[in-house]
Parts: sequence; structure tokens; C-alpha cells
Amino acid sequence: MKQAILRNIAFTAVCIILGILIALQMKNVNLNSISEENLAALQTKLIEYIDKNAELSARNAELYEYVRILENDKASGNAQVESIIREKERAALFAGLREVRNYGIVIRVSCGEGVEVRDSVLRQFVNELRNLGAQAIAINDERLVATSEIRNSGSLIIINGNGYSRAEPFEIKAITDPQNEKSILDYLESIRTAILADSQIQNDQYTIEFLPVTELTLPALSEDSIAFRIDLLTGQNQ
Amino acid sequence: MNVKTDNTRHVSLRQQLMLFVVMLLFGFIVANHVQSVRARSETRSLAVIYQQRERELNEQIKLNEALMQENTALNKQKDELISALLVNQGYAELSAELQQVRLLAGFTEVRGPGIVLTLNDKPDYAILTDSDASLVHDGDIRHALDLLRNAGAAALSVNDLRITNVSYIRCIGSTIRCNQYRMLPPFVIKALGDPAQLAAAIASDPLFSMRHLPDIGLVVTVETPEEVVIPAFAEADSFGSYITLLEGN
Repeated sequence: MKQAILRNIAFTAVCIILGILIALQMKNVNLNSISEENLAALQTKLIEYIDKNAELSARNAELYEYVRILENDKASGNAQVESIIREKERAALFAGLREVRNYGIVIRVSCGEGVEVRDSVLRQFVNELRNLGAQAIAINDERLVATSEIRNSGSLIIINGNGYSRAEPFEIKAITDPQNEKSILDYLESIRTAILADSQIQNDQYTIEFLPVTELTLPALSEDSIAFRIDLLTGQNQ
Repeated sequence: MNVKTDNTRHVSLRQQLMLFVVMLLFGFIVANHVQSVRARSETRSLAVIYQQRERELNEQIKLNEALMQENTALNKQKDELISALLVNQGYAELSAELQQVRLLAGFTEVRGPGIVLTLNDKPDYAILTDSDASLVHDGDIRHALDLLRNAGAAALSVNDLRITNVSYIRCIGSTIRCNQYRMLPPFVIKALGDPAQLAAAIASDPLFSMRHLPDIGLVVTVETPEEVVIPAFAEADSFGSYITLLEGN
């Protein structure tokens, strides 16, 4: 009887140790699957977060300082209106509400006779220009904002609610960094090559030209433009 | 009595057999474990570093969340103070203009009717058998945004990152980036506007319809909640780097 109990205890102990060993082994297997590539990816992500947090901390410190100034202004009844107006103007620049002028690139897009320009070609260039860091973009002097439409409607392409004939050439203007001119033009060239090689649109006989311009002017978009859809943003349609 | 002895012997034999099997397994695992510990000490040190970095990353992610919350609260406080100051000083018009400009720039949260579009890779995607079309690419997100713009969207976000005039969606290595942030699937695109019109634009798109077929299996779902909330541009308090080429001209 005593022997049987001892045997059971021994058996249980062995099973427990076995379980622990299996768990350890599994852990080991998981750890073994870690490669230097995994570690490098993790470290890149970590560095990215560290940088992001450092930047965010600095922004928050600036905000604390600005809030403190505003609170003092409120207490003294002496608002720094000029700095607020400056801030408003900068936000308006960002929003596309001000005309801008600087170095930029013009892209001219046209088709063979009797063929209409496709909206997708214009959208492709606009998206690529955004990826290339363009700070302001316009098509046929229609300033583009985050919600600007570029779509076919019969023989027209509608941009910000206005129609432009698809039979006429289109001109895309973008304010880009002049220091990156070569890389931007090289990249745009690769897009042109891809478009011209596209079997679906090969027959359209596209002519696509790139032109760096020292001083390019992009008009502002009016606050009343349909592109902003202000009624939806302010909930006036509800 | 003999039967009982036979039974006891039978049980004892079975226990010994089981013990033998367990011990054999035990011996095998110990040997394997020792071997793997010896042979992979290098990998183990890599694993230790990995675990340490993972812990550090989790701490940084938590810190980032706290800093973002702090930033949102500070921005709100700043806006309220500016508004109160301007109104108190008799600049109510300037205050309204400032609010309008910030609204149009995407610097404020907006809410209203709209849709939530989710794009995700095919569930259980297998690299050897499934096509590349079963994965969400940066071009798919740009395509969805273009469709929604053309259907009258008034505000857009991807994974709660506000789409502004300077936003880009591009693939860098194996990740997709938007507004300098790294995004992972699923990609949740929110659009403010007429829900029926926005949903129809996605439903009638030939590209998404084809990719949504069972063979390809890309996940494309549209929801129309009562209210869609689109966050403000996360860098609304430090957008200077986006207008460096526009200022002073």
C-alpha cells in the first residue's frame, strides 16, 4: 500500500517535471524562431517610437508654454491678437485658402486627336505628387484640397465642382522642394513610362511633359468652394 | 486470492510500462533541451535582447498614448483660451474666422453621417497559394480615398489619421505609411458625407468587387453607423514643416 502511494507520488512528480520541461522546450522553440531580421525590425520600430515621443514631448512643452502665456493674457486682459492672426494665416496657407508662389513643377497631360484625357491619369499624378512631398497642388488652376474630386463626367473632368473639357490638355502644378528636383523628375518619368506602357490606355496616345518652373503661382481655393463641403463639416445639413 | 495477485501484478506491470514511457519521454526532452540550450546560446542571447527591446517598445507605446492624450487636452485648452480671449477683447469675428480656418484645414474633430470602410488582407492568407491581390496595398487605400472624394466625402481618415491637403499614403518596405505614421491592417477608412452615396461608390467599384470575390478574398466591408467621428490632424499644433515652401511668398 505504502509502496503504491510512493509510486503514485513519484509518478505525479515526474509528470509535473515533464510538463515544466515541455513548457520550457516550447518557449525555447519560440525563442529560436527569432532572427536578426526580427530584431532589426523591432529596433527600427522602437527607434521610431522614441523619436516620435521626443517630438511629441517637445510639442507638449511648447503648448504648455503657450497656454501659460494665454492664461496670463486672459488675467491681464491683454490678448496677443497679432500672434493669433499670424497663426490663422498659417492655418489658412495649410488649408489651401491662400494663393502661394514658389518653385514648382508643371505636368502637361494631353491625348491624341479625338481622344479624351482620363481622370485616373490625373489622379495618379496627383497622388504621386503628394507622395513626393508637394505642399500645394492645382489642376488647371483649381487648387486641390484633401476632399477635392477629380472625376469624369461625360466629356468633362469635374474638379472642385467645376468641369474641364477632356479634349483639352490638362496642366497640373505642384510646389515641391527644389532640392529634390532630380529625384522628383526621375520618379515622375517612371510614372510616365508606366502610363505609356499600360495596354489599356496605349491607344490614347498620351503626351506627358514635365517642366520645372522657378516661380509658380497656385491660386487659393475659396472657403465657399463645394470641395470643402462646409455644410457637412458643420452639421448644417442634419 | 490468486485472481487478486494476478490483478495486482497486472496493474503493477501497466504502471511500470507507463513510467517507462514517461521516463523515456522525459529523457528525450531533457536531452533535446540541453542540446538546444548548448547549441543555441547565440540565439538565446538574441532572444534576450529581443525580449528586452519588446519591453522597451511596450513602454514607449504606453508613453506615446499618454503624450497623445496630453496633447489633445492641451490643444483643447489652447483653443478655448484663444476663443475666450478674442471674444472678451471684442474680436468675436476673428475668433469665428480662426475656427472656420481650422475646421477647413482639418485641425478639428468632425462628426456626422458617413461610412466606415474596412479593407483587410484575406483571412488566413497563404503566401504560396494566395495571390498578391489578396493583400491590401497602398494603392488600394489611395483608390478608396479617391472613390470617396468623388462621391462627396467632406472629411476622411485612415486608421484614425486625418487626411489633409498634404497627406500621403505610401508603401515603405513592408509597411504602409500615412502622415508619417506606420499603419497595419485592417485599414479602417472613415468618411463623412451622404452614407448611401459613399457606400454605393464602394459597392459599384469594379476593382473592389473583383478583389472581394471568394477566390481572391480581400476583405471589403462597409458600415453605416449613425455617427462617424473623424479625428483632428494629429500635428495640428505643429504643422509648420508642411508649409515650409509656402510661407514668405
